[in-house]
Amino acid sequence: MMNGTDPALAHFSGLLRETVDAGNTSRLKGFLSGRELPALGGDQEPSDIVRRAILEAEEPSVLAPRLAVLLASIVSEETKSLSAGTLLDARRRDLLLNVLHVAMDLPAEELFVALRGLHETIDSTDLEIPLWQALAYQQVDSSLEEEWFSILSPSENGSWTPTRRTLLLTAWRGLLWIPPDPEIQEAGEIIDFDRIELGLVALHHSVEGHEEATALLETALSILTETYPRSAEFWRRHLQPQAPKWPSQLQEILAARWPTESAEIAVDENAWASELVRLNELFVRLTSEAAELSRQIEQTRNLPLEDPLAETQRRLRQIEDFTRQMDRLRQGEVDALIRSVRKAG
Amino acid sequence: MRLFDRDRDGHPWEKAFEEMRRPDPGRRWAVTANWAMDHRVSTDRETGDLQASGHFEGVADVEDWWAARGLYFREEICRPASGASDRETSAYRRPTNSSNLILARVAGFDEFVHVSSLNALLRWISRRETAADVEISLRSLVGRGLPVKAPGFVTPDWFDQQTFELARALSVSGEDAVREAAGLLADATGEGEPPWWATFSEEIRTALDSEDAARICAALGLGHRTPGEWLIVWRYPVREVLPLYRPTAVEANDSPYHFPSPPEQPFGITMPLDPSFAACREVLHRPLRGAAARERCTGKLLYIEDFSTISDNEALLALRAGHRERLRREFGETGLEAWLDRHPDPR
Repeated sequence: MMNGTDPALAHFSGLLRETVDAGNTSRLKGFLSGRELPALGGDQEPSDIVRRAILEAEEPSVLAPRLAVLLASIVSEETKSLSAGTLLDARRRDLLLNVLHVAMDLPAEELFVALRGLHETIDSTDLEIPLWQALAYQQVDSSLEEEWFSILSPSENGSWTPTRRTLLLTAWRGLLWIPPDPEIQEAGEIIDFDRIELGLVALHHSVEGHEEATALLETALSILTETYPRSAEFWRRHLQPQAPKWPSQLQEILAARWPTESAEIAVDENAWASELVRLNELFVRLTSEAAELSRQIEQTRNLPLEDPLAETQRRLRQIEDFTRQMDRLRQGEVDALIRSVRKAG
Repeated sequence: MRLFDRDRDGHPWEKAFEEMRRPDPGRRWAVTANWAMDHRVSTDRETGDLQASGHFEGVADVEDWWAARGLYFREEICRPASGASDRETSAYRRPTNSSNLILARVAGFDEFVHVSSLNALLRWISRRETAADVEISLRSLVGRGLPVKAPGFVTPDWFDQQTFELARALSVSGEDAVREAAGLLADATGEGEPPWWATFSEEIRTALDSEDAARICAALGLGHRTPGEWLIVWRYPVREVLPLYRPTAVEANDSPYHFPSPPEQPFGITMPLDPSFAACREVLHRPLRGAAARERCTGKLLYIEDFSTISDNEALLALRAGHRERLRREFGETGLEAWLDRHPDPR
């Protein structure tokens, strides 16, 4: 066996680069339909193999945007064909799925217009989530804002399914991925807090009353902070002033996530203080137990020879009991305490 | 031409298979070689399922065939184990494949092992309707969700990088957390998940006990796994996943690391990546779900590093030649030799 790149994948990566260099959309379409792909195993879809091939290229960051241009052509071709009444059969649906999966991994700019066109033409539940996911990451302007708000708002039929929940989080991401207008960005503003506020409130209205509501809203806040890495103080400063207008459940979730500064410090101090007291108590107890064990061992060593065997056995059992107790203390309390101190810190 | 170990001169796929008589850079020759020799695909399945599916219509060359094979897998194998009709049931469970239903009375208390990739599972789920529920559950479990793309251009390896962080968080949280995650991921893969491949755990007990991911991959013939992936391992009694099916080259999809089991053998036979490992019996069955998917996970995530798969055609030819010898040593009857002689590997 040899280390290094899989030569079958490396070969295909070369074919991919050739295809992109030549602007050959037909061949790229073939790849995404399963043609000319290497035998890699693992039940990977064509989009997975193309993605891996991009990574194998000499300069993936150069190849990827050029691939996006070709992909946009394919999307436009397929949209035109579907508009003309061509059937969305298994082969075409499979191709579009793979196109959308690749689109998610490519830089925005080239694909957005083409994907919007597909969105306006197609009506397929199989492609709904991948299409929204691809659109979320390919946005170059705010033209989809209304669509995202529409999805975030309570559904007409009140459906509450895994699909609905996935669409909600996709729409939330879509909202967050709307790039700022260039003039606003030049002024140093990246995040649109009005949009975030409206989105959170709409999301709350959609999920309130459902068992997963709190978890879903907490997840939305996590997605917000992962999309825009900022300090806790930043989020408090920008979101808390508006929070009193929000539904109470949303306010509570926000407050739990980013408690006000004084409360946060007080909680931390109390957490630390009580943990330190427990730690001290535990050390005192362990020290005392160790001293007792030491005494027992000494006593056993100094047993007069005429002590009956039963007494010796009894003392040994006592020593074993103490040892087990100390083990339990160590494994149970100390480990729990360490976890608790880490969490507080 | 031989297809499924049957004389098929003049078959529509003859040109496609002829093109694969010599090893190609894409290693597809190994897959067509398997399809040519795999006696386990019955005439009933060939005509009543593969041809009847329509995916192979109009195949003129190897590219047509290769694309059709992949589409057949995604459309016909990636279906529920028990659908509302035969057409809606995974093809391996349809009546046309009944010749591969394992009728041997395997002891229900015997134990299988199934090994999956956390990376592959997460990628599968992130594209599906269950993504949000998994996201929420993972965050509740370990404070991290599904891998998520950050704004701005990133190279396509962001997913695996974030999977690494998630796997570490799960591992640090302990075996119960890993089991909990295994259960929710298994449930979230949905009805389009292909069947699980499993082997009897006792046959690779030493490799399993080592918890060395690379060693486990080599022992089980998982040549498609790559360094940087995380393995999840399930061990479970046979009785929990009945009925069992013998795998064929069709379910093996595009894997060049599969080799058909000899005629008269009731099980599949693995092709380990290293001659020091013995082959194992392998089966197909429906994926574990629910409490079983959680409880039967070993609770360990095993990171693949220092793993070298079979990297080129020369090595793959040598692997297959070595496997033929292994089959001769283990099974050594006349029928086997005649079968192997009918299907020499390309030179």
